[in-house]
Amino acid sequence: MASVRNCKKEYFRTSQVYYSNFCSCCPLCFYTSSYQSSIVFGNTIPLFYWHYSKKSVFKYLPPLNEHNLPYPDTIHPIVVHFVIAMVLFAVFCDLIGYFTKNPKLYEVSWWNLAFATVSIFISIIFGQIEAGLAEPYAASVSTLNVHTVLGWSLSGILAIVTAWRYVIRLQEKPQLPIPYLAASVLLAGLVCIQTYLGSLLVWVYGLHTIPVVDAIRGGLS
Amino acid sequence: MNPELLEQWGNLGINGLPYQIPIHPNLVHLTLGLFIVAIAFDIVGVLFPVEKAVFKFLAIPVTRSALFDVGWYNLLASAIVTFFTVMAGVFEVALAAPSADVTSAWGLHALETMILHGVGGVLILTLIVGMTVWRGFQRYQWRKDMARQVQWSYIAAGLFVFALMFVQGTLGAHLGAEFGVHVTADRMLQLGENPNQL
Repeated sequence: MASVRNCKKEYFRTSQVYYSNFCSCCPLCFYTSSYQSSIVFGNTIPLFYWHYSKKSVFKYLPPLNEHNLPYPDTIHPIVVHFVIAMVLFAVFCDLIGYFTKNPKLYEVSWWNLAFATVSIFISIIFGQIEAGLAEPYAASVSTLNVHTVLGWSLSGILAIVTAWRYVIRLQEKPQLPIPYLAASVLLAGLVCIQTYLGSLLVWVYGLHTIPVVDAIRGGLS
Repeated sequence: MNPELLEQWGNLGINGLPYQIPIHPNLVHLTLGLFIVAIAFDIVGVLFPVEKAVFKFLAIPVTRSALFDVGWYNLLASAIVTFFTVMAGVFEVALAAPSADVTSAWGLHALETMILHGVGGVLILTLIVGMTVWRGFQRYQWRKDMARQVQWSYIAAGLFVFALMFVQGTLGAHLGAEFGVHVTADRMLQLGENPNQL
């Protein structure tokens, strides 16, 4: 453990060009940088990446590009299309279906929810990888933490709402129960908040944009 | 845009917009999500005879017509939303002030990327609306009484639009993540400021 305990931020930075210059809580050596005090699960990934790249098969991982990614562009913002659009459209169809009593829209809503539930887990996987490789600077850390916690929470909430919907659908009732509608409107609200937080990370804090990655490699922390 | 014209806005933020986050990328979630899922469910509907056993195994009751309903209503919603997506895009690209000396991963400068993305956006809007009309004719006229509601050529056209959307999306991603258009932190770095001041 002695050598691992030495993993100061600068050590990371000089010892390996790409996977080096980040600082967060490392699960192997418990080194915690000064600003990182919270539970960003994502930041554990590059540390594993770094540690394993020194020894095992992981050293064959592809190098990181100028976005600090092992592939051309961020994937998480693409996969989340299928959570945001499908949840919002499902709730929209539920509300229209409720007032127009059109059972077709209930089916549309159910299939969209089912699609969103599969997608949210895929988007969390990519979200974790990309949050981990983002090496967030101080100002962006708290937003990333809230986005991470809300994202995992939404996976549970969305799965529960979809399961609830599955049962309601099996019962073949003509109308949706009001508590279900209330829950799905709440779900849509949380999705909007989560989308807003993700937008802040990209469009305000610029995580994974080339200028910010450059600045972080140059010492921004 | 002409810097003097931009000054007439008065209270533009560092990101060059009169508000905190750009609207266009958020509407893009809806356009792409709705369109791709619409085509995906039409494909599932077309291949339904093959998948019947899978749905039975998963204990998910399913009717073929409901799958095509998803294909239709999602596409209709996508067509409507995309007008607003393009509108927001036109507004925000007009306020873009990217640096001239950067080249994207595809070897394009900001101006070329913006023009291609703009032309691509109008082209894709046209294709989505055209496909919605086509889909409507299949649903309500030509194939009204058929079990398979869409033609194979419609599915092929959908897959072609997927390819266009990939190109369009990558160009848009370059505008944000490489040229830093409307990204507050990138603008601050360009001005020599520290984004931690945010």
